[in-house]
Amino acid sequence: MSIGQTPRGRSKRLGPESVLTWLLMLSSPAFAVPPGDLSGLMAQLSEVRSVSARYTETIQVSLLEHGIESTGTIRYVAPDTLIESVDGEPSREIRIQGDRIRISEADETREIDVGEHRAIESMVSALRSVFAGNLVELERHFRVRFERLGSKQDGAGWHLTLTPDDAEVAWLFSHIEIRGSGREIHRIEIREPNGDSRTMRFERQKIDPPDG
Amino acid sequence: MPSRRFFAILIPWLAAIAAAFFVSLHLGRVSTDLTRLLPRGDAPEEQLLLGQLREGPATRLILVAVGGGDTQELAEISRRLQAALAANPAFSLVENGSLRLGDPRLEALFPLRYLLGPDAACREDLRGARLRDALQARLRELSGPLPPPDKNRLAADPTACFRALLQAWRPATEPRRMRGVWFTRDGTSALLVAQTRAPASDLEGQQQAVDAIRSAFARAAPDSRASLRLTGPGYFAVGSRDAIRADTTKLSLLGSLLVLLILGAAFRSPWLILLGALPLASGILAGVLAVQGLFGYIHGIGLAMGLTLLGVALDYPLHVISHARFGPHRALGGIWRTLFLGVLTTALAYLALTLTDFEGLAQLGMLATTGVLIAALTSRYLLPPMIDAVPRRKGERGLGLGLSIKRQAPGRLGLILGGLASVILLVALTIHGLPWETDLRRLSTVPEADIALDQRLREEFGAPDVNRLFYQWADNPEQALRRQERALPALEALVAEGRIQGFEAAARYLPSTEAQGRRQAQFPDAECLEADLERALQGLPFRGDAFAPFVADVAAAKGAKPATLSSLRETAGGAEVASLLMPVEKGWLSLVPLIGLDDGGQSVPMPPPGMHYIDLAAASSGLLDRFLGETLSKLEISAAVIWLVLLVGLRDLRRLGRMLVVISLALQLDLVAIILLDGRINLFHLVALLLVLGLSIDYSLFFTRPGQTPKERATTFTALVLCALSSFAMFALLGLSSIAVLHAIGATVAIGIALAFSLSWLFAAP
Repeated sequence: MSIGQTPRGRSKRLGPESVLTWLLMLSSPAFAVPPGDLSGLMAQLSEVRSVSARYTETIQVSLLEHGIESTGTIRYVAPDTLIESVDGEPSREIRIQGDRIRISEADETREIDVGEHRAIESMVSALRSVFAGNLVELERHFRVRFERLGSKQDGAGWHLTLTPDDAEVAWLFSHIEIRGSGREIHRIEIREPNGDSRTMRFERQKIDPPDG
Repeated sequence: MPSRRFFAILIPWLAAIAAAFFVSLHLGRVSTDLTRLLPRGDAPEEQLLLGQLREGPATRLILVAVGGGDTQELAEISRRLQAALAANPAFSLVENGSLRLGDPRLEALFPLRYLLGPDAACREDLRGARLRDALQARLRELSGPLPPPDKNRLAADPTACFRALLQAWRPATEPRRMRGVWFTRDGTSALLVAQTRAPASDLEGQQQAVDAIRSAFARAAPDSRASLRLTGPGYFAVGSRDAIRADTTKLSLLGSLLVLLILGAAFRSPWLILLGALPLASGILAGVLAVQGLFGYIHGIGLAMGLTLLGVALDYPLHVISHARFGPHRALGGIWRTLFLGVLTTALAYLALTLTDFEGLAQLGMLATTGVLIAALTSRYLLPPMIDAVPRRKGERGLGLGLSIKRQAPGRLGLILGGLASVILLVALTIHGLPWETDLRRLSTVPEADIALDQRLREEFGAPDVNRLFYQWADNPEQALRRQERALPALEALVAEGRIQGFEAAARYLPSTEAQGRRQAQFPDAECLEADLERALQGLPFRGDAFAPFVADVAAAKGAKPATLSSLRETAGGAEVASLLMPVEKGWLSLVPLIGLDDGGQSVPMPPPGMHYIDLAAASSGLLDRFLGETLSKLEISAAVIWLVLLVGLRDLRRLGRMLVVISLALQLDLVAIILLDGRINLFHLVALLLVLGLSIDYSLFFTRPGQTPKERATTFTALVLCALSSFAMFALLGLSSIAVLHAIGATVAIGIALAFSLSWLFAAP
């Protein structure tokens, strides 16, 4: 339910100071309207037009002595574009738009169809649907578990667990965990059946439109 | 009620018919295998061709299109359908383009990767610096944006040998993939391909496969708008069998009812109608038994066409009953000679067919000749005493139609008309050419729309043109594979020259034992590999023991028994190999289907040494050409014999002349009518023309019978009207069928009857 639909009679009773408090609350992400349920969260996310953030990715593979870490920036533009630019030499950019994935590495660019492989499709869908707040698409590929984190004061923390429906996808990853608060996504973790994982942490996020 | 004498003959007769029926059922084996109609063929080419037609892998494919929903829904249905059918033992292969990473058939192939895979990833990369390069490549993939789908196999396969193997085995062309499964280019239908274990000629097996697909679809797409479309040789065979069965049953029931009505109106006695049917039934059973006894089985189509030819045998009892019952005193005695000549000439015409080495045609001739003779003999010897034993009703009179046989036309008119018909025929043939139907597919009963759909789906799949291929004989699989290996460079050169786009060959999947032995010698031994691996791992973040499974697998491959056809039986790719290298009667046959053979140059690519080229489509139409040619040449012989028999039997050149005018006019005009109606002449038209030949001999013999009293002539005329009317009713109904085969036979015979009867009447003798 949006604020605009608040009954007139009730807003009359708000004094000037309460209006101020109310505006302050809205402008701070931590005090954004707490998503009471999954569809509430998704509705909130769907209002986002674009996001850009720095990220740190950690890949844990049992065959490796230690994890591989990389950093870069990620940018989401509604409704279906995700661009990931990896820092370092050679530079690498992954651009997912519509049905195509374009991977540019040094001088080489290759393109693949999102639908070419089921596992890729599921993974892309997981990322994109969460950014876009598209619950229908998300539930097409996954069983979705939603949890609210922390106390009511923390308000907006949430945790999504996505379990693939498809056996072929499950062969590659057992589940995806996404944590965030309000309209902000903090962490995406892809877990594989053999215990390997990839974790992306986001910081310095710029969300458009900004809260409030 | 007829007298005791009637039943004294009827009961043993019926008992004999019943006994023959049960013996025939017991001897059983009605084959519906279309290819058995064709000659056995002694030349290896023909054997190959027939083997291909009968069992070839292409004939066992059912192409499946699921349309009528959104992409997501169709892809889901495609996956469910694939899973359900892959679990069904009726199918040896079910593909929908999905990766199916955990597929047990892939798991079974994995241990064989080093023996079967390509050189680079499976042997060269196992040593020194190449091993380090491979490890670095894997590391890059691990840290890449999309984890490699074979990541789980990394510890055992760091050089990605298995991935390279699967890549090499991928078909040259594939349909587009959407949502991970095959789709048509326009994205409106999901595509699957299923290979049945049963050959296309095993109609029961094909029926089960088609039913399995339908019910799996119903479960995979409940309450969905999606629709299922199937094509493929087996599916067509099943569909045509059902359609023919349904139409034949319906139309022949209706036809029999009409004939019953006609005979009932004429004879007004159920006993006489029964007598009309008994010789025909006896003839059919005798013919079937003769074929079963001689050939060990009877072909379904041979049976159907044989029954068609036996239509002429209905005339014999009708002549006998009409003359014995409704003619003047002793009228019956006068027809024997005529009837005998008719039977003899017809039997001779059909006998000629038994001389061909086309088994189906030989069966047809055997059935028809035996049937005609038995129907005639029973009509001659069993019917007359029985007819006398049926008491006459009060006031029973002759069958007067108020019409009789009069000399209608002078002989000269016959010559003019005959000349005219020949001119028409010549003109028609000049315009159309001799329009023999030599496309085997069009001989079938598949609707045009289905053939078009089949063509379209095949193009979507980019399936190899299974019609054009190289082939090779060998004593055993090992020899076949070695020969193919020697031919591979020449084949690859053809691809490089652009003569063909690609090819399939068993040796690309399964190297010979010899080649596998050479590969095994190239594998590093465990010590060497461990040392190389240790060096390669230096400075890389992999754990020291990470690749222990890899070392173990290479050691196992080095000491393993080479893979053979049977080790591939339950693995991915096994079905493909089995369809390219197969045991035949004497030895092994390997096929190399050519993909995208460039037709522009018109010249056939030179097969590598030891291989032969065959164009199955051209070879099969050549076969059909020979089939038709042989039928015609045998008919020429029988025409000459018939002419001689009539000459000796009649000793009357004028009468013979009139008969020949009638027979040749009827056949020629019928042929013209077929060309005008159907555009082409197929095998079934030809068989129908044979029946028209038999009928026109019968009609013209009776119409030109000299020395009868007016009353006798009236009786003969009525008998002929009865004969023609009942046969016409039967075949005109068949002609209404929408099934090409039934229509061809029905229309040809019905038109032929009309022509033969009216011409016989026109050229009747006084």
